[in-house]
Amino acid sequence: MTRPKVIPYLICFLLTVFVVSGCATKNVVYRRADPNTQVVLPRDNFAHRNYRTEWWYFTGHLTADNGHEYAFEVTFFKRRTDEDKYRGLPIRNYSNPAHMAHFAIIDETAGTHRFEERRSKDYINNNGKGGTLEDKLYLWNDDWSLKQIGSDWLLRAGMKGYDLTLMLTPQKPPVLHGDNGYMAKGDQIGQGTHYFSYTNIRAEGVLFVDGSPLKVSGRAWHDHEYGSYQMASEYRGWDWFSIRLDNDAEIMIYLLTLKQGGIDSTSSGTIVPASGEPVHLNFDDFNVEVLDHWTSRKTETTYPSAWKITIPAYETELSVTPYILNQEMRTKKTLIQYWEGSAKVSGTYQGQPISGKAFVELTGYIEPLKYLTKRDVQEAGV
Amino acid sequence: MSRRTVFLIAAIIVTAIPLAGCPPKVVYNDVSPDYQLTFPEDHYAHTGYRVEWWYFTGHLESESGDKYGFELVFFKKRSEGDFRLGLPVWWFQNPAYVAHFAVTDLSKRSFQYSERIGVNKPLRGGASTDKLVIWNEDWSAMEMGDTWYLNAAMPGYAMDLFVQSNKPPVMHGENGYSQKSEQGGASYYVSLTSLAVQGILEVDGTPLAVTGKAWMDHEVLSAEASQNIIGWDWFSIQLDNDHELMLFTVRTEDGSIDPYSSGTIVFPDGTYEHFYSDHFEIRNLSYWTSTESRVTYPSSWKVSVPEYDINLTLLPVLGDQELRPWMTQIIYWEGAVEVQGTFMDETVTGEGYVELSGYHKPIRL
Repeated sequence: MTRPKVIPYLICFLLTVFVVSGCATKNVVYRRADPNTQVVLPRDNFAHRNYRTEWWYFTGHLTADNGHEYAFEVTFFKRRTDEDKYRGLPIRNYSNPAHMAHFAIIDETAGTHRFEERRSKDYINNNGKGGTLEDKLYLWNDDWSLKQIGSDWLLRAGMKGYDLTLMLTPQKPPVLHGDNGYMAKGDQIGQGTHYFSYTNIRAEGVLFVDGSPLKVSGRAWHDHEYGSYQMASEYRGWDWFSIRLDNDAEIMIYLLTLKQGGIDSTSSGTIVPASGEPVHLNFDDFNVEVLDHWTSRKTETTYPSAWKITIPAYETELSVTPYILNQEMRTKKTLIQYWEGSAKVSGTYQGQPISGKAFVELTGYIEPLKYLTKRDVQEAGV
Repeated sequence: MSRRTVFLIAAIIVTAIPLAGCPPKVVYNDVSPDYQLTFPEDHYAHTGYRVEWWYFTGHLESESGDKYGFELVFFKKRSEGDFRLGLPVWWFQNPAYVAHFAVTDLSKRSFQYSERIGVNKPLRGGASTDKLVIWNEDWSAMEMGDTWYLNAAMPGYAMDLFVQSNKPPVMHGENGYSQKSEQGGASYYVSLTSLAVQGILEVDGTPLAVTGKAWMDHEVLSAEASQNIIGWDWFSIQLDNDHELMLFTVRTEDGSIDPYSSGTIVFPDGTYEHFYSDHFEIRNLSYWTSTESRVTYPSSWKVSVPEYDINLTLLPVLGDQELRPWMTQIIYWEGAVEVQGTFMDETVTGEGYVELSGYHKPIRL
C-alpha cells in the first residue's frame, strides 16, 4: 500500500495552498472594454492577453449526404482566473488563463442533442493542452481546434459518436456590433464587451457519426467577444439570437435580461442585409415576444422556448422555434450552464415570405452568472 | 503477467495455429484494360480488389523559409493469408488499413516517420466508396468541397493541409491501366501531379504557416507482381516550368529492368503523354547504406528522356529517408529530392519524391 506515504505530502500541499490562497488577492487591473478602442481585424480575432473573459463561438447548420440535417456549436473560452476560486481553492495556481471548450451536435432529423466539454490546463508554452495564440487565429483545447489556414478556418471537434471536421470560409466581411464593435452592457465604463461576428460562413466537411463518415455542407456563424467586467449587477444574463435567412440576410439580437424580470433598454441588435452595410438596431427598433416556455427536468429550470421577433422598420416578422426543446448545456467541469440550440425560422423579411435557421443562447436562467458581481468590480479596483 | 493471461494467450495461439493454416479463398476483381476510369468516383475506395493505396508526397516551405518534405500514405489491403506478429490479420481486420507518415525536416536535417494500423478507437481505419474520405485512427484525407484536407501527427510534428489540384487527374499507362511487367500484373494508376498546398505544420508545438506543392498517387490492384520481380524505383518530379514527370522502373531477379517500366510527362496545360522504358534512362550515380537496416539503396540519379530533351540530376535532400515501420514490417526508402538539369536546352530546377522498394527483401504485396 502506498497510501500512507501520500498522505503527509497531501497535507503539506494543502497547508501550502491554504497559506498561499490566504494572501490578499493581488489587485489585478484588467483591460476594460472601451468604446474608444477600435476593433482592428484580423488582429482582434486573435487572442487578447489582459481581458478577463474572451470567447470564440462557432455555430452552424449542415446538410449531410445521408439526408440528415445537423447543427453544431463549438465554443472556445479563455478566462483569467486571478480571482476565481473553486471550492475555496484559487484556480490561478492551477491554470491562468483557464481554457475551456464546449461542443454540441444536434441531429435535427433524429431529434437528438449531444454535448461534451473540454477543460485543459494552460501551459506557458504553445504545446499545452489548451490555448490560444496572440499572433494568429489558432485555438485549441485537447483534441479540439480552430486553425486559420490561408483565408479559411479549419474546425475540428470530436465527442462520443461524433467527429466533426469543417473547412470554414467567410463569405461576408466581419460585422462590428453595437458602437463600432463595442456593446454597452451597463452605464459604467468597462461594462461592455468588444463584439463582432462573421455572420455568413460557408462550411464544408466531414462528420463521422458512429464511425461512418458523412459529407456535410452548410452555413456557419462565428462570434468573438471579449471584455473584463461585462455586465452591471442588475442583469441576470442574456438571450441571444443569430438568425440566418435563406436570402443571405442575417440578424443578430442581444437581449440583456434583468434580475427583477424584463429586458434592459441597452439591448440591441444588427441586421446584415444580403449585400451592403450592416445596420445597428436599438432596443426600440425591434420586439421579441416569448410565445412558449420549456422546463428542464434535469435542472428544473424554465427557459423561453419560442419567440416572435418583429422589426417594424424592415417589415420583418419572424417566428423562431427550436428543433428540439432540450438543448440545455449542463457542463459539469466548466460549470457554465446555459441553453444553446438550433431553431427554425419562418415569417416575412422586408414584406416577403422567408425561412431560415437560427441559433439561440439563453444564459442566467439556472443562476445569475456569478462572476459578474459588483464585488468583483470593486475588488479588482476597476 | 498473471497465470490467467498466460493461459489465455496460450489458448489463442493453440487455436490460431490450425485455423491460420487455412485462410478463406477469395476471388478478387481483375484489373482490366477495358475499364473506363471516371472522376471523382475513381478517387474513392474500390471494393473487390486486393490492394489499394493513396500516396501524398510534397514539399512545404514556412514563412521564415524553413523547408520540409512530407509523405502521407494510406494503404487498404485484403488480408486473407496475412500475418502480423504471428497472428492472422484477417481475423481482426479485413480489409486491413495501414498508414505511414514521414517528415523530412531540412532545417534540422532530420527524418522522422510513424505508422498507424487502424486499430485504435474511435475511428480505426477506413476508406469510403462514395466520397473521398480515407482515415486511419487520427490521420485522414478528406474532401471538403473542391479542396482536400490532409492531416497526420506524430511526436514533434502535426500537419494540417488543404490541397487543391491545378490539373485534371493523370491516368498512367493506357488510360489508367498500368501494366507492371511482361508477365502481366497491372494496376489502375492515377495521379494528381500538381497540388497547391496551404496549411499548418506544427513543429515541436509551434504552428508554422506553410505553402507548397504536393503530388497524389492512387493505385488499385489485385494480382501479385510476378515472382521474378524484386521491387521498383519510383520517381515523381515537379519542375518549376510547370511540367511533371512520373517514372517507374521494375527491377527483376536477374538484375535487369522490365521493359514494361514506364513513365508519363504532364504538360502545363494538363495534357500528358505516356511512354515505356525504351524512351527514358535512369542511371544510379551513387549509393547509400542504412546503418540501421544495412540495406544499400541508390542515392542519386541521372534521368534522361531524349524525346523531350530532358536531362535531370536528382539528389536526396537528406541521405537517410528510410522507413522501417515495425508494425507494418516493410522497409523502404521514400524521400524528398531536389532536381536540376535541362529541359529543351533550358536550365530547369524542381522538386521530387523517390520511392525505392524491395531493396531489403523482394516486395510481395
